[in-house]
Amino acid sequence: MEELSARSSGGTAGTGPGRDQGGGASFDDYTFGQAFDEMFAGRDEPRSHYHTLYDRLRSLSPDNLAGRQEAVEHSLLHQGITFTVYNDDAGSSTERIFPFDVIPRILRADEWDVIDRGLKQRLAALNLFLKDIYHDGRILDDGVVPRDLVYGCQHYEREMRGVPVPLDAYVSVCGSDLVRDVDGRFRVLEDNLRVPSGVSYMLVNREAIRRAFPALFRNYNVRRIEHYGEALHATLRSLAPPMADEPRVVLLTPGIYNSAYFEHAFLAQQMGIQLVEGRDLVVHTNKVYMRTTSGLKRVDVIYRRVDDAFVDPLAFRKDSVLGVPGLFNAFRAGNVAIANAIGTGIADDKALYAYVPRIIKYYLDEDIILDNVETYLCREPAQRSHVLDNLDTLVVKAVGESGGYGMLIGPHASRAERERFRAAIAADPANYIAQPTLALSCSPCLVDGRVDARHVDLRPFILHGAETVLVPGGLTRVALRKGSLVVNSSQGGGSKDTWVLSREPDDTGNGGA
Amino acid sequence: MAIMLSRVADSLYWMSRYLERTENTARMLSTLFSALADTPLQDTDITWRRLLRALWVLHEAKGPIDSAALAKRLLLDVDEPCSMLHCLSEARENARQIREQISSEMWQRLNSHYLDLSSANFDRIWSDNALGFCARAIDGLHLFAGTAAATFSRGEGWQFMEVGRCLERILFLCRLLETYHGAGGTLPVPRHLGWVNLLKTCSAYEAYCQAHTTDVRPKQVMEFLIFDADFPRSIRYAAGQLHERLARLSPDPDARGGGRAQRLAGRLRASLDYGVPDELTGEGVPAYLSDIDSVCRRIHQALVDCYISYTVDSRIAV
Repeated sequence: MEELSARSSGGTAGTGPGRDQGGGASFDDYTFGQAFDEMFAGRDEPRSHYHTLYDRLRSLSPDNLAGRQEAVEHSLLHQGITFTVYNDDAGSSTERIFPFDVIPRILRADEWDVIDRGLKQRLAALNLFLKDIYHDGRILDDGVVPRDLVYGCQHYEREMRGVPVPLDAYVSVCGSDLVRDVDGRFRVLEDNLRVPSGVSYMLVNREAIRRAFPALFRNYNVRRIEHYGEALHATLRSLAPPMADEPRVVLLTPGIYNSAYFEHAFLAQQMGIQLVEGRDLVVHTNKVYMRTTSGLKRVDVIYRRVDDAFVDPLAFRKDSVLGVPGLFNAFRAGNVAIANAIGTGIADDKALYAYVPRIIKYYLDEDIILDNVETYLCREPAQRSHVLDNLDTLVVKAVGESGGYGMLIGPHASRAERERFRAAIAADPANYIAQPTLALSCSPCLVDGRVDARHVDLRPFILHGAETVLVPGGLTRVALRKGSLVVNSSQGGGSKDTWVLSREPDDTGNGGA
Repeated sequence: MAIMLSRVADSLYWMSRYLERTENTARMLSTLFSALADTPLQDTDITWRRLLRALWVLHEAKGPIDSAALAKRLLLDVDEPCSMLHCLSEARENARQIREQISSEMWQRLNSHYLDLSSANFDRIWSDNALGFCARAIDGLHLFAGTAAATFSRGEGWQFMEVGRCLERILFLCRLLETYHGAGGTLPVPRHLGWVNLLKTCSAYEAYCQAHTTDVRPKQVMEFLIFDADFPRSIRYAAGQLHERLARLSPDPDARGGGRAQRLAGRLRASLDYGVPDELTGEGVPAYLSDIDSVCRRIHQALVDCYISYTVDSRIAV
C-alpha cells in the first residue's frame, strides 16, 4: 500500500481543475455507439452526477491515471486477491488478479431506488414460488407455469419435496444480473439463486478506489457498503434452528482449488466465522459437528458455497468428496440450516426466467418493477420458428449453461456457428431460449492508457432472512474487449467500483476534488 | 479460548515448520557461499556434502561438485523438496488455506515475500550477489515473524505455530550437529574454520564468543548448541519453549494430568536442563542426538493423534 499512496500523491491533494490542462486524460477517441452511455448524454456532455469525476479525469495525465491503475493491480496481487487459472494441457496453473478498472461507475439515488424495490419484489416472489413447487404446486395446478418445465428441469430436486425450510427462505443470498437498455432503463438479465459469487470484489473494489482517489471519493456522497459482512451474518443467523441460542454459522467451501476460494476466505473473515471444508464436518445422529482441536463442536447454520450435487454424497452425487455424508438428513431433520437451500436452481433456470413476470403477478398481485429482457422459448413452436428465422440478430442461450458458455451472439457469430446452433435447437428445442441482442450500456474505462467506452452490467447482492437487505452497490462487470458484450470473468471480463449516491442535497459533489 | 478447526491447527503448524525449514536452508547456503570464497578446492567438496546431508538432499556424487548447479537447485528449484523456494512455497500454500485465520498483514507479508523470491533470476544472483540474496530471503522471514508477533493473537493458533517452529528447529539442529560428528563415518570431522562456520550457520558465533571468548573448540561448540540455556538456537532452549507452548494447548481429553505430547516434551526438557554436558563424550554425541530426534518425532505423532486426526467415536461431545 505504501507504493499506492506514494504514486497517487502527485495529484490527489489540492489539485484544482486548472492544473495539468491539455495534458489530461483525453476523451477525443471515446466511442459513442447505439448503447446508453453511463457517463455522457452526448459528446463533451457528461451527465450531471458525473461532472466532478469527468473534470477530475480531465485534470490527470494519462500516465498519472495509468499509475493509479497499476498501483491498484500491484496491491491486489500482493494481497493475493487472485483466482487460479488451470491449464489442462500443460498441467500448470497461474494466479491472476481479476482485472480492475480504475474509473468508477456512478448511480443516482433514484436509479437505485428502482433497483432496490425491483429486486426485493423479485426475490420475494421467487421464494414463494420455490416453497409452492416443493409443497402444494398451486402455480402448476393453475397452469401459470408449465408442469413439465419444472419437473423436467435438472435443478428440480425431488428430495426437497415436503422438506421444511427455515423462514421459507429458500434463497437467502442472491446476485441478479442487471443491464441497461438503450433508453437507460435497468432490466434483469439473469437471476443467480444457487451460489452467486462476486460480492468480495464489490468490497475489494471499493477499498481500492478509496485509495486510488481518496479526495474524489470524499467529495461524492457515496453510500456505504462495508457492512455487507454483518448483514450477511445476521441473515444467516436468523435461519438457525430455534433451539440454538448462540447459533454457530460456518462457511462451507469446496477448498483452495475452487476459483472463488479467495471470496470464501474473505467472507468468512468479514463475518468472523469458521471457513470449513467437507472434511472438517461430521454428521452424527443427524446433527452436524466440526472437528476442532478441543473436540467436536455443534454447527447450526451452513452458508455453503458448494453446488447442490456435491453437498452430500449419500443424498446426491456419490463421488463427491467436497460434501459431508449425512448432511442432507440433518437438514431434513431441522437440525441445521443450509443457505441457500437445496434445489433453488430451478428458479434461475433460463426457461423459467420468461415466466417471472407472471410469477410475480401470481403470488404478489403486483406488476413487475424491473422488467425482464424479452425472451423467446424454443420449446414453443411459434417462438422457435421466430428464433430460427432471426438467428443473425438474436442471442441464443443453452438453458443448462452459465458463465457465458453455450451462447450464440447472432450479430457477432459466423455463419458456421449459427448453423451449429440451428441444428442444436432443432435437436433439443427445450434446451434453448433466445433474446434480442442487447446494447448493454457503456461506461468509460482505462484501456491501454486511453479512456474508451466498454460495455458493462451490474450485479447487486440481495440478502433474505428475517429481513430483506440490499447493500447499496454491486459488482459492475466490464467486457474489456472493444465491442464485446461478454462480461464474465471466465471470458475476459473485468470489474469496477459502483458508487450509489446518497439522497443528500450535495450529491453532485461540487467540491474541487 | 476461541475454538480452532483441527485442519487450521495443522496448517498453522506446517506453515511454521516450512518457514523454519526455509530459513535453515537459507542460512546454510549463506554460510557456505561465504566460506567458498576462501576454501581450498578439495574442501569445497566436503563443505557441500555436509550441507547436503544436513538438508536431507539426495545427491549421487559423480566427479567434482558443480557449485552453481547445486546452488540453483537448492535456492530456486521449486520441485526440489529441500530447496528454499519449495519450502517457502509450501509455507505459503498452508497459509493460503487458512488466510482468514491469520492476520491479513501476515498473509500479505508472506505472499509478497514469495512473489519476490520466486521471480528472482538465478544467473543474475549467482554472478552478482548470492550472499545478498540469502540475506534478503532471511530478512523477509524475519519480517514475517515480526509481523506475526505484532498482529496475531496469542491463542491456540499461535501455540501451534510455535510448536511447529521449535520442533523443526530441534530436528534440524540434531541433524546438523550429527554431520559435524562424522555422520556415521561418512564425513571427516571438520577443522577449526568448519566449527566457526557451524556457529555462524546458527547465528551463534557472537553469542558463543561472549560465553567462551573467540577460542573456538569443538567440544564447547557442541555443548553450546545443545545445552545453552538462553540462546534461541540451542536444543535446550527450543525444547523448553516447546514444552511451554504445548502446555498451553487445549487439554488432551485422553490423558490425566497432561497429554502424551506434553509429557514427552517435559521429559525432553528435563533431560536437557539437568543433563551433565561433561558426560557427553565424543562417541556418545550421535546417539544422544538421535534419541532427541526420535522423541521429537513421537511428539509430532502425539500432536496429530490428539488434535488433528482423532477418531469421531472418541470425541462425541458438545
